[in-house]
Amino acid sequence: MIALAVGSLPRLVLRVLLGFAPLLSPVRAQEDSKPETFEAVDPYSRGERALLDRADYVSLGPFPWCEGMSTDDLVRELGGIPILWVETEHFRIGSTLSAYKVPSDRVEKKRLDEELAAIRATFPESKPSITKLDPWLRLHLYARRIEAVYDEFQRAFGLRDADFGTPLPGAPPSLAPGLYLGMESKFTVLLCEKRSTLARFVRLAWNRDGNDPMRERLPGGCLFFGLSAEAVSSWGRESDIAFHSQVAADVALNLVNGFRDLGTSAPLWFEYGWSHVQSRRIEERSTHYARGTDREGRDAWKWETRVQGLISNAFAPTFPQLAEFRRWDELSGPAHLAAWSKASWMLATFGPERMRTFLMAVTDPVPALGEVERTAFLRDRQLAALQDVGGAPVEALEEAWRRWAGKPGSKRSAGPEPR
Amino acid sequence: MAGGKATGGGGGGGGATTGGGNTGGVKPKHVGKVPTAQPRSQTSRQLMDLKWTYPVHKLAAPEVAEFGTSVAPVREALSREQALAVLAGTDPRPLLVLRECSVCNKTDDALLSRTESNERTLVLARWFHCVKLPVDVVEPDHPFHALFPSNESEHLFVSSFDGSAKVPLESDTSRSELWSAMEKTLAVAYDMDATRSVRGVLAGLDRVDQIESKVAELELRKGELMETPHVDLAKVRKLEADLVALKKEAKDERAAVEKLFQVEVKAAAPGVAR
Repeated sequence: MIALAVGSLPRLVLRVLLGFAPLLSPVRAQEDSKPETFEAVDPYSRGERALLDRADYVSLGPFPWCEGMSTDDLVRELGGIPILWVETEHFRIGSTLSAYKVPSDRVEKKRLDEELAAIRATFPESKPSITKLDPWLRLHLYARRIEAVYDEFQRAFGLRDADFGTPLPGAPPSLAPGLYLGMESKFTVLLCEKRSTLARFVRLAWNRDGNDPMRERLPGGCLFFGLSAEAVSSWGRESDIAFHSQVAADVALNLVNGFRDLGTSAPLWFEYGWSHVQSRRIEERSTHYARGTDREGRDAWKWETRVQGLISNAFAPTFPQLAEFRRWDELSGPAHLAAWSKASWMLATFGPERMRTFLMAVTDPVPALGEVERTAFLRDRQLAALQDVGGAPVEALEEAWRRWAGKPGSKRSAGPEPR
Repeated sequence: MAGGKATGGGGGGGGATTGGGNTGGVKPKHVGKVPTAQPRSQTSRQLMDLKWTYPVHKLAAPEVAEFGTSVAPVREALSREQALAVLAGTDPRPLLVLRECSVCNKTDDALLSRTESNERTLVLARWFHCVKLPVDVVEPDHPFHALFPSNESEHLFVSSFDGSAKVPLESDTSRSELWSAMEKTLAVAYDMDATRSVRGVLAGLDRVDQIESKVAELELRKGELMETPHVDLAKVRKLEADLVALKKEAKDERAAVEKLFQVEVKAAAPGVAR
């Protein structure tokens, strides 16, 4: 699909030709930069109820953020910087993302073209710019993007909103009392321009230092995810599409972690396999959480070929081997590649109903056990669930996956398309 | 993440993600945006990383009166002494305090250069308690207002933990003035020769980088071999063995650099004026 260099290369070349140093000096940077002002009123919806309804928004704020904290509290405590808010059907989202100049990257532009068409359809009088995304436009884009991951989660696992909460009389029992995949409150997402904004939020919410990205539970039964553009930029990725793919990866993880709110996570390899599928649906050229998969070469993003190589040498971890991983930093490059490929295979092969059965089985509460027994229990349970939904012994499923993924020349692992 | 409702510290399954990750064939810029003298390994960058703290002074919960009524707490500025006490907490290291600015493009500008190597600054900063305050610190009701009373205030200062021996600094302060101020402050707090210590750290980082670059090269080679159909497995096993030895060496070198950063603060002189 894509085989091209970094989109900003021409700009980089231009910078060199023009003289690098003057453009980078702090004095120049300060002269150039004026404080960015966010328009007080959303220029797309103008705050009109009819347009907010068209966008499936509940509110543009203020609203409660979590138990004991409102968006107004955050505005006051996070340093007096402008923050834009939107409450969607399943999320409460805050953004301090500043205006973004779209680089000449073919992949990013194509995706944005499609997204901006949808924005125009929602807000018919708006004229979103393809060359520069203003802060409000970025908020609208991320609201759509984040809800899209939720939609995809429900589609992939055969779930509906009606499966959660108090069931109507005569209806089947719900999967969990919380309305949001079982969580009591909507998922919260804070997208920051600077690391310091997220760090202050972490200090405010949990009185400690955090990571960037950050995922954690907030009071009142919601799962939080925060990320700064500065962090993604420090990984060598400045584009919005890279930021978007990271947002998709983390939101996907939080949806699995929050499912049924039972305090049990799905198998680690499956969580990350699922997260990689969501991340790569947006941008195949960077899958940040897939540590150890860095390669040189223009085709390195083609994971299908790399998985085929691992299979041919018997280096692809098997299902039982993947089931042993307990921590993200234990996952090797081949483990990430195999996790992604196997999650893709399961999603494509089993279909939503059986994937729902699998997810239910692996997220049931775990009985009180010692560490060793617990590890064995979790391993055995996920393999049993796999056999159950696969309708065959694990070895046979392993072979079925190898045949599916290992066929040279085919692009099998993209997973189902989003709705 | 066993039991995993608490998703841990987020990223990468609870781990800090300070760079790296898959770049799928598109060569990224160097991880980290701060210019250094030479391309540094990820480990070196982590060792030099500025570890900011971001204090938030929460208002005390209102006392509920007998009949259930209460008065909403009002944000107000602390005295300078109180503000410094909150900032320092129980950390006896000297302070390096920076205020963010709505005009500066990147707030680290006041401390770091975009054109010259920042290695000496970054290493010196590791012996400070680095605090970053928000843009609105200049507002009269901000709890830490007393430290930066107006927009005319400096963007950065270094001082002892109690605010004594304060040296205000600006983004246009020369590197030599900045380093001199930092080293003087460190001399008050620690029994060490900062210049010599920096030299020792940088030499250690060079050794770390040398080994890390070999590790990275072998990891890459190993990964490529594993993904090459029908490869000679003996070659992969040989690389694995080499990697085990090199990683042990890298771990030892990293520990040696970390040890250089672990310097005890001199006992605080009582009654130092703030």
